[in-house]
Amino acid sequence: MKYLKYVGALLFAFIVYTFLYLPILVTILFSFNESKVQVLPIKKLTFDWYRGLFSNTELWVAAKNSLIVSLPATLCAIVFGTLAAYLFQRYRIRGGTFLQFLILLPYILPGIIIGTSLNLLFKFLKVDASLMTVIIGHITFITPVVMFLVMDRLKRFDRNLEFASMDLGASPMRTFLLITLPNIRSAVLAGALLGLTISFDEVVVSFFLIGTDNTLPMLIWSMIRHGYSPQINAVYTLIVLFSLCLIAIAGSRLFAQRNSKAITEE
Amino acid sequence: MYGKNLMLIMISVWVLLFIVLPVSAMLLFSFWSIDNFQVIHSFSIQNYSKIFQDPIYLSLLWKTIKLALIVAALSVLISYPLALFVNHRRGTLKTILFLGVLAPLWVGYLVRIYSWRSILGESGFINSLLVLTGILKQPSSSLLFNSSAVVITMLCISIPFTFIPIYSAIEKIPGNLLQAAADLGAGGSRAFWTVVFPLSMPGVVTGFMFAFITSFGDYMTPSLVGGTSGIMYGNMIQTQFGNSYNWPLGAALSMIMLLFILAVIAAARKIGNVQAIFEE
Repeated sequence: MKYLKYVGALLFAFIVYTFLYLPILVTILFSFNESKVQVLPIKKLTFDWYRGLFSNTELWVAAKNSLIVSLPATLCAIVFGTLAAYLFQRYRIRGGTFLQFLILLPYILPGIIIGTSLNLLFKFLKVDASLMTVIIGHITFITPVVMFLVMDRLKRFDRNLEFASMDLGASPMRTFLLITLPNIRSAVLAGALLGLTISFDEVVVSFFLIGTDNTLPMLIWSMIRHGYSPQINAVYTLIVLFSLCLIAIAGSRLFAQRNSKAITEE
Repeated sequence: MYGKNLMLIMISVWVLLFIVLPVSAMLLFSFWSIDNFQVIHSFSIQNYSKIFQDPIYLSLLWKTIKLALIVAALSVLISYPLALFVNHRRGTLKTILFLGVLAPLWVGYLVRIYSWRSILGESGFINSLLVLTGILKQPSSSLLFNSSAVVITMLCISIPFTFIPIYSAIEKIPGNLLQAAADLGAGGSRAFWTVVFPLSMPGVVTGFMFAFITSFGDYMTPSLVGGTSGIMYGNMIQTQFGNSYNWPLGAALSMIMLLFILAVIAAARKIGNVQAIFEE
């Protein structure tokens, strides 16, 4: 009976993981498929779709635009996210919970609301849509991610180190730079990597803020609307691999710190 | 003290710029109207009265709520046992299984929707598998471009969102509580229903809320796999900003969505102590 329960649980987990990864696996599989239609069985494997990527200048420009958006958006979010996390974690502020909730909102709300509301603000201010407006959109939802991770880290970090530093005469700024920041470094880095991957993939908010320059997901969105191309599979296979690498780095960083903390606490 | 105030000012400016001003602009536009593709800058409740009088809008809203509730319920039903399963594992395997649920969140939102379209399509993965194994004689076209295709695709997107809070709620339950339950004579299932399940409720409510909100606001999934019968409320907003050029109506539709979601968050906080999840 116990054995049967275990097998059942295992089977259930297997089905759910398959469900989560099937679209990703199918994408990777068909990126090597020579045929232009996604039908099984695959008759012939090919690298043609990958080779085609090199000559597709539109894709390269879009990828470059994505970086132009993601890097500054992430940088900005790191500064504000860390600042917010430090403020809410170290000080008692009147209305702090409410402020924190407002910062979290873009993370909780559907992208369509962030997109439409910023779109209307820019219309009101008569600001033309450009990569700049997309950057602003992306900052809103990366900041809470960074704030989450840094707050979590600050909570588990021994505050006495900060007090000791200030007792020894260091200014709060100096204490933050020399004591706090090195200790929360891995959380900030993890936030940055996650923010970068989220932003690089984002299309829901960008849709309402984009001007004439496409980011990579926006270009792919318009390609999908026009019909099927195996090249999309090839692009996404590369993005998936890239994201998985960044996630692995971010994940192992966070977990390494979690574990070492657990050991010192024991 | 000086530093604290400076930080507070910076954060407040952030909130003002990125949250308060955009929502104010949305509110303002929602009371404007459009005539001959020109925005009329005068106050009128025309958009709201149109939305509440024309059955098209309310029936689509209701349909979207139902669909999002189905996705959220299924998402919790799948995530909960999965969270128990992962929590029972030990060491590196546990870490890998945990990150394994989260990873798809970051490996392409669009690609997963797009891929489900080709998996469910008439010449797609599932159909060719079914024909290949002889279960179907001819590929079926009934898998794609309907509400169930939307639900399946949204589930694939929402499960990680639901899993995170449920898992963290279950993981935080102290082991000695279960030991105490066992010492007092509770069997496995009794200990689960009287100890684990009640303590995991905040996670369940938060997870349900996240799945509901992401599905409710999603417009890309319906437009790629939904067909005409699968369109949802978000698509209507998208149309106002795209083809229809009726931003005031779009603003009013977004405003209603925003208010509805804020109500859902408020309800979730009341029922399930969601704040506890955010803070710890």
